[in-house]
Amino acid sequence: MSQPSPLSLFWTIAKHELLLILKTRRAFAATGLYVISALLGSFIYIYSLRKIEQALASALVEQGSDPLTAASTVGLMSSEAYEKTLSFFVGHDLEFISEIFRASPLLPLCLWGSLAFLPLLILVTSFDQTVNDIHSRSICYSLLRISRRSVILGKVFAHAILTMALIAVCFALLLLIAMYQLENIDFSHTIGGFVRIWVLLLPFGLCYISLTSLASTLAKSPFGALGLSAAFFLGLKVLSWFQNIAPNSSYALLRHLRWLSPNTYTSGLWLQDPIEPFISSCAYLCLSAAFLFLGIKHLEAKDL
Amino acid sequence: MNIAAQTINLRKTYGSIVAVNNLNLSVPAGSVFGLLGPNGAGKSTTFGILAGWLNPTSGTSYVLNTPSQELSKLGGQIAALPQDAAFPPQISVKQELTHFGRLMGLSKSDAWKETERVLEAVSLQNAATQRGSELSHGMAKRIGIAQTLIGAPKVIFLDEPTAGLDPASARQIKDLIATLTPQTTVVISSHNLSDIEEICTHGAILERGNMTISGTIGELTRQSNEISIEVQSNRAIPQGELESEFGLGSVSTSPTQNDTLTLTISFSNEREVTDAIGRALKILLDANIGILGVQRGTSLESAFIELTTTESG
Repeated sequence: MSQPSPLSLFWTIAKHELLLILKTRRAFAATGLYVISALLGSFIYIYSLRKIEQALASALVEQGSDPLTAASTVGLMSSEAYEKTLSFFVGHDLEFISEIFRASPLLPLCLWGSLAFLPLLILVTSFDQTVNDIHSRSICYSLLRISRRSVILGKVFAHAILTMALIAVCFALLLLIAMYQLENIDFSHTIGGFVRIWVLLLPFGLCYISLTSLASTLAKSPFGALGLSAAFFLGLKVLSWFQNIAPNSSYALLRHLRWLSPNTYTSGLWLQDPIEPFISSCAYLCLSAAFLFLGIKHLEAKDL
Repeated sequence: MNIAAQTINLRKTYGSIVAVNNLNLSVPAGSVFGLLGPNGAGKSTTFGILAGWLNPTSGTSYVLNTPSQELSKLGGQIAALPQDAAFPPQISVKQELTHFGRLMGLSKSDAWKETERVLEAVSLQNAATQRGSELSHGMAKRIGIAQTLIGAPKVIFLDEPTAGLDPASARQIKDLIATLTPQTTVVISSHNLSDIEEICTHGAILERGNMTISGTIGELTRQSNEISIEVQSNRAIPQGELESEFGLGSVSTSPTQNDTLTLTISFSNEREVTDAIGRALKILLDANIGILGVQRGTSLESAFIELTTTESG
């Protein structure tokens, strides 16, 4: 009997974890809710945009403009309004925002929605990844065969696969809706945009999965892990607000704590300069590594 | 003597409570080793540290010359039945056991075959498709034992392996354990002294975190230096003659039932037990004492109670 390689071991643990997740109704319910929310949100968004554009064009035609000019004017107005909105949400001037987001109304919605709601999905599907095994002591069966480190990494790997697969399915459905609702959608451009967002979400999602993994090793019960994960998410969100402390304030030192928050790095994902998304992704990977390191160290020191 | 598992100055505290206190324990390779002790003696803590589930406060423990915290490096050469551990409720027994085989580097087909083999060993082939949530306590225990057999490990730790099992299943598990040695070393933690006496070759008795005695079961039950003879009490016991044969203060009597006594003879020097039994019986028969029964040593239960009561007192 030969020892499996680390990669093969992680894959074996991940497959087992995925089997357990898929057999759990909660995971199905959460993913279903996420997909339905995403589809419904995008449907309403696109529908609302079209209705506003139609209403504006009708108003211009009633005021004596010819339909072609009205359509062109509405296109310009909505484009300008859209660009301002985009700039507001990203927190950067428009010229710095990636062209891919400036050209499509659907892609920014996908990225914004994912950045806002993906942590919640991860919270619901991944909070008990380790604590369940510790609570039921089923982890004791595995620990003479694999290390505690492998348990954590294998489970995180499984949850990363699940999350990224879910996002891919969600994006595919969104693309279908966009094709149905938007007449002049640039198919290849949109697919390229989805792929880019999917790649950007990989380190982002991994960061939150690692954080739930840490909470899951610290907590004593699954319910406690859920509460602790939520507290971590909220706490790190609050840390990101520290950037608003004035540099000349007596609390100015606290501004540096914002770098511990994943939220601080989201704006970099939107930018045109490739170094910015790269830096954000690296920051997410560093935070993931830190959370995983803490989780592994805690589990190794824990009495089971 | 090859050592399969060992603790050196092992100490574990929970706050101010000392669960294990400088424990030095050696488990001979190929033995069935019983870890005994009353509640709170430190058995489960010692067991947990040896299996790597608990971290010691100080001291070290080794299994197959590997520190307990690194046993996963041995790739499944060690297996354990933890107490009160559940199987995942969502998936079948066969899926779970096959997963354990895969973790040990078995191919998928070999892991399936191994699962079938170990389920057959505990007569639970029919439970293969049942999920963890559908198992009774006894079935879960037997499947827990089955998973320790995957890949034929060199050392197996069993925490209360027969607790909660019906007599037939308990018998089967005891027979199964007997077939594992000497290729496999088995360490058993149990309250069931008759089981330990029946299946173990070696043992240790713990009391309040300290080791009271350790050795072969024969040594624990004093089988080579003590005999007990149940006699009728209607005639005077030739105590002087017995003491001149076996040594001063070597003979003690205790009433058993109406008109019967248990005569316990301890040997002050090493001698053949069969010879000692013959000589003692001759002296008693010459004195016309009615013999009702003879036993080598004492029962493990008596030794356990005697040792733990002495320590407690």
